[in-house]
Amino acid sequence: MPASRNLRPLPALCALAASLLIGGALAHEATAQDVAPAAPPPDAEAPTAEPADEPTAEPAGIPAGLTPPELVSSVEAEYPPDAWDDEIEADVVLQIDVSAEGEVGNITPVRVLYYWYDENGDLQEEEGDVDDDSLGFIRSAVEAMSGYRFRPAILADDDNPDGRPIPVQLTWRIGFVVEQQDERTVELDEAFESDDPADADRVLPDGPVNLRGQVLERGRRRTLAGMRVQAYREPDGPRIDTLTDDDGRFTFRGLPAGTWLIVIDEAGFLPLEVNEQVTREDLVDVVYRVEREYFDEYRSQTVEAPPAREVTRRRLEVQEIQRIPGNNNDAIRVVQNLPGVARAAFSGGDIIVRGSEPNDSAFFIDGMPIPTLYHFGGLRAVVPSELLQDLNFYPGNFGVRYGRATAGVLEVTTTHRQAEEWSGHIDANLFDTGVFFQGPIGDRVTVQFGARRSYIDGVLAAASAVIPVQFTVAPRYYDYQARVIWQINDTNTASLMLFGSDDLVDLVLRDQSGLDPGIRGGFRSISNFHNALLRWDTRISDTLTNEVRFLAGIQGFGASAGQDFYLDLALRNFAFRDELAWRASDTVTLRTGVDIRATPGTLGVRLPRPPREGEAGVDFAAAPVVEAEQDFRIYTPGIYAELDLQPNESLQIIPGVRADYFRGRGWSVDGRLGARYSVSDLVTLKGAVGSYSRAPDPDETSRVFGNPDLALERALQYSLGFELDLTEFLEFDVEVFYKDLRRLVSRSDGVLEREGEAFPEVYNNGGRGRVYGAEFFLRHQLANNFFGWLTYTISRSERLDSGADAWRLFDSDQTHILALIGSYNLPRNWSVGARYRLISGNPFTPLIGSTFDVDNDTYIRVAGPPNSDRNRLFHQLDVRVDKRWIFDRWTLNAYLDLQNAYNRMNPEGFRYSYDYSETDIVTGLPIIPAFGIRAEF
Amino acid sequence: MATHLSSPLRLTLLLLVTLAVTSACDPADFESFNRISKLRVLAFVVDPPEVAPGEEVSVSPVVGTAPDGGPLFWSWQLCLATRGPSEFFRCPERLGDDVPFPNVIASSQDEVFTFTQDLLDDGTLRQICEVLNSPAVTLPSFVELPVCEIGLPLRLVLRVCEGEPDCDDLDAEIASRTLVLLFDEEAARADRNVNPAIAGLMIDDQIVRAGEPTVIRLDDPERELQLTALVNAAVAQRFEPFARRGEPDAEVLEQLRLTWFSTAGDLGKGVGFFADGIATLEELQANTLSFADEPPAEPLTVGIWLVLRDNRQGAATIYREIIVEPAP
Repeated sequence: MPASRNLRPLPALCALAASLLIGGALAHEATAQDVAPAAPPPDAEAPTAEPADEPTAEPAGIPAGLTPPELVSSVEAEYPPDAWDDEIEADVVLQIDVSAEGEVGNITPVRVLYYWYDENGDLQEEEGDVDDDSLGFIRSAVEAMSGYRFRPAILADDDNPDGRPIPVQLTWRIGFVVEQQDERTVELDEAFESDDPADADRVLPDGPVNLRGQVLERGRRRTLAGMRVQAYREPDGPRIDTLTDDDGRFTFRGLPAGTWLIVIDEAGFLPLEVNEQVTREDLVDVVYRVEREYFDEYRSQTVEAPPAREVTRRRLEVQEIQRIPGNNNDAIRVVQNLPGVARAAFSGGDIIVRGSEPNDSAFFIDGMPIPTLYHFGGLRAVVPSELLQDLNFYPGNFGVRYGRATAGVLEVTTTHRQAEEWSGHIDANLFDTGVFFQGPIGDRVTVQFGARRSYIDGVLAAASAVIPVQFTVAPRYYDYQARVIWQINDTNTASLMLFGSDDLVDLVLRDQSGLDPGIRGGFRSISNFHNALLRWDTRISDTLTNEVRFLAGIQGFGASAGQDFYLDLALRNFAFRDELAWRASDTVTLRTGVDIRATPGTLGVRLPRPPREGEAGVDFAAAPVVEAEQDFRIYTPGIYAELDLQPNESLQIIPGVRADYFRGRGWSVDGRLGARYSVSDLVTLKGAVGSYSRAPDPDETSRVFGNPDLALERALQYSLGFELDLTEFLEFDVEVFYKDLRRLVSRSDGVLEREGEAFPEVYNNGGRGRVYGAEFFLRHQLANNFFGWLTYTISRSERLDSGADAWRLFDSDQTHILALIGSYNLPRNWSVGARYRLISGNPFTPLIGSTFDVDNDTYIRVAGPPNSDRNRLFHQLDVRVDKRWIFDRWTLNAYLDLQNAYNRMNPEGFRYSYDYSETDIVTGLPIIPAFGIRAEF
Repeated sequence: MATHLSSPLRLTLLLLVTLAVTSACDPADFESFNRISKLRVLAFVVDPPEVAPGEEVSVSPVVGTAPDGGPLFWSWQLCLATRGPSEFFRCPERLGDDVPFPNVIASSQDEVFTFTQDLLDDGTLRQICEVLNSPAVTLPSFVELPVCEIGLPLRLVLRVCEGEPDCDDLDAEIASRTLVLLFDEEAARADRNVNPAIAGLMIDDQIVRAGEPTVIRLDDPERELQLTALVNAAVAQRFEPFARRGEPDAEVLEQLRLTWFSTAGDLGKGVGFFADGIATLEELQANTLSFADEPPAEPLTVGIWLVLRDNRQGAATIYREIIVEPAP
């Protein structure tokens, strides 16, 4: 035991340690430790409670369904007077009962530890005898403990799924530390009396704390643990340093009076130097905010990637892809830069995967179908990137979890983690302004809200005097998202998201005298959806998990041109998915699920039949108009099962089978097999084969518009490749693929008999397709302030139309697709990025002449062999610059996204004279500077 | 699935919208549809437009030509079915063994195609309709199922070669329209279609007579000549569309469409419309002609065609000439 010293007692600090000992039927014992923040001196700035970035460790051994008791109120234990002179600190461990009403009883001391500093200033520790309370710590702790109140423990089980309060026994630690307070200033003077005059200039390690503080990250207000804080007394005084604790707090004891230079200079942060005036009479309490050298606002959102269950998956994290130039901050559009994805004309939003039509691919949000990806077909994504956690793109050979598609799958997943604090942003750019907020309500609930609205309608309204159209409603869009995430307990998480989108344009040409009377009266287009998505994830046991998804919503599309042409579509969308995953052993996991869709709807249409892929276009004036009004019901339940076999660490084999029922078209059963083999840490081989089915589009099977007897389209996909993990951040992926497309819907001149009458067949399943190629993907992940991609695809996609003699190229066959993308974080929160693309032009059908349709007073094109010619090469450079300003509690980001930086006039299509004897090239978008700013807190 | 439920249909409609909007914004860098600078077939005038059994039919082409064009050689065919416009409306001789009728009903090498409709009587017309619509009959893929509501629709095809009697499809001017051979009871209807009529053309309130080029002095090169087509509203007949017969208030007024052509100058509009409740007769009749972009330095003879159509394949046409003299 140390010699006594003149040290004044301080209020005891309560340190919380809980261990749970469940009596009765439960046998587990667990220990969890949390340290409460230190009680501040009265006049100091109250530090903000900043929970740690990383989730706190789960208490080990707490039974499933049990919620530990929660402290409601405490009593400060008095530092025993008998220990003042000895400057002893102590930890008293008590065993207590907490009743089902939250009352504390049966308080029993089980352990006591004493601490003191010896003559050399070294910390000493000794375990005491609980039966010898000569210093009074145990008595003081027991007295304080008797005044504690708790919210009782809750146990949920099969009989009581909502939980019931139960009594529990646990251990509790109360700590006693010695600390200076302002009212003891005078006493400190006495404490610092020393016969040795040199003590006035020496740091006294057993002296009172006279400088303490907390270190936060500037702009984000997060505490920084493990930061080295150095103190120098100038000009030639002593130097000492310390580290911040888990709450970012630090203390200095016994500093001699004078000016102290406080320095925090850690890697990754801008150095901080502050002068503080320290005395022996006062406690200086400070908060320092240090700024990151390279700000990465989404670092905390990076999550551990789920184990791969698809052979080829391209996973993108939102913070990586938002900076890619030319994408208007749209994470979904970035998929167009991935290998295997063709460029959409006019920078549109179509996702053309491995030589297949956009309709052949499927798009999901949290496992549920997305009604539409973009506003106005490609302007902006309907789901803002802020809501997304990551994107998973499967260019082919996807697993049985997904169906009703024959090309690729894009699934975006939304953030599903509890927010630790309130945060949000306001974003304004060339097209729209949006807001997004999220924050916690209590410990288990997070709410998110986002909304965005365009304002190009205002711009067009201002310019209406000089353009030949008059907008009744100028093009405008909005979207919204509202979500509640509920961490029900340790094994159940649920969320409910309401989200929707609305696009509208309504215009009238000023001079309609040249228009056919049938299309006078204006043009209107409206597209919207409003959905509710429920998500429920359950960890039933360590080996069994279940996911439930349910979506319900309405969707509408309406367009009209005058009185004669219109399209009205109203849908009610319902989708349900339940997937159970059972890890039967370390080597075998079984996943099985149901995936049901139901869509009743109504269709009203009066239009010429649309042109099909491979056809040269629609001659509107001459094309016969078809009219239909019908109700329809699309119902497609599906079930699937797959095994994930990992006989060793190197090999993974995933066989699966999926069955889907298509109302009116019968069942499809598809088998799929994928495998990955890690030859070494560097090399992984992969391969897959599978069959895929999809139903024809509803307009193709309409009794009036198409052929209701069409069968399912089918595809067989094969792929083989390898991955190289060249470095920790650099990977190289090569894959060759082949797709055999069968029973494609194709235009037909045939005649059907139906109920004794002849009808034009319109379409049949006589089309075929074949696609083959190779993809190369060199990727540097976001690290060391840089990320970049080099992607290259070489491929060929061909079709054999029903009745045709020869194969032709697919409309979007792009033999070579090269993209080079990079983004680098510069100092002072600048970042620059560039994207360069070099892509083969699309095929087109040359027109060789025309004939005159006297009935319709118009010329009809005479086309050459379909897609027998090709547009010129496409190449374009996009550049992006970001600058961020970091303030104490918020940040401001400005960006310039310069699309088509050298103003390349890329050919996109053709215009023709009235008789198709003259041709003019239609070029794509010119140089477009898109500017945006964003304020974030 | 819902994403792409009607993408092709939506695309069709949006293309239509784009077409209309861009046509309003379109810079005139292509030659206008309404400028005649080469051989073009503008219309057929078929008299009568719907042919009753026993009637004599006269088919006159309306052709625009360049001033220095060569002699024209004509080839007419009247067929049950033709290959499509992308295959130049070719008429095969027969439609297969299942069709016991020749495909080419009549033909001619004269400029004006005349024939008498004693080729196919009412019973034969109905029999052809039945055969072509029969699911048991194998037909070539290009044959569309004829819609036999008021009669049998045939295809009338004209090939015009300039300078030589035989020319390649790509060098010929090829035009086609529908010609309906009426059933007996349809021929007797009071609202059977007749061709509309254009009474004449006025320029700046001056009547321009056929065969007498009217001199127009262009004192101001910027001046727009005011054109007025003399069309009486009475030429738009009232009739009952076949699909609505028997319904109350089934009768509707024909819509008229007047297309303007000229060999020089810029017309204010290429097409005018008359539609009950939508477009007025004045809108149909009025137009302007301007030489502001290319004022003639010397007297210029300008040919002007007017082609008037109703929406039941009736047509009428006039041709006038003016001589535009520049200001001294």
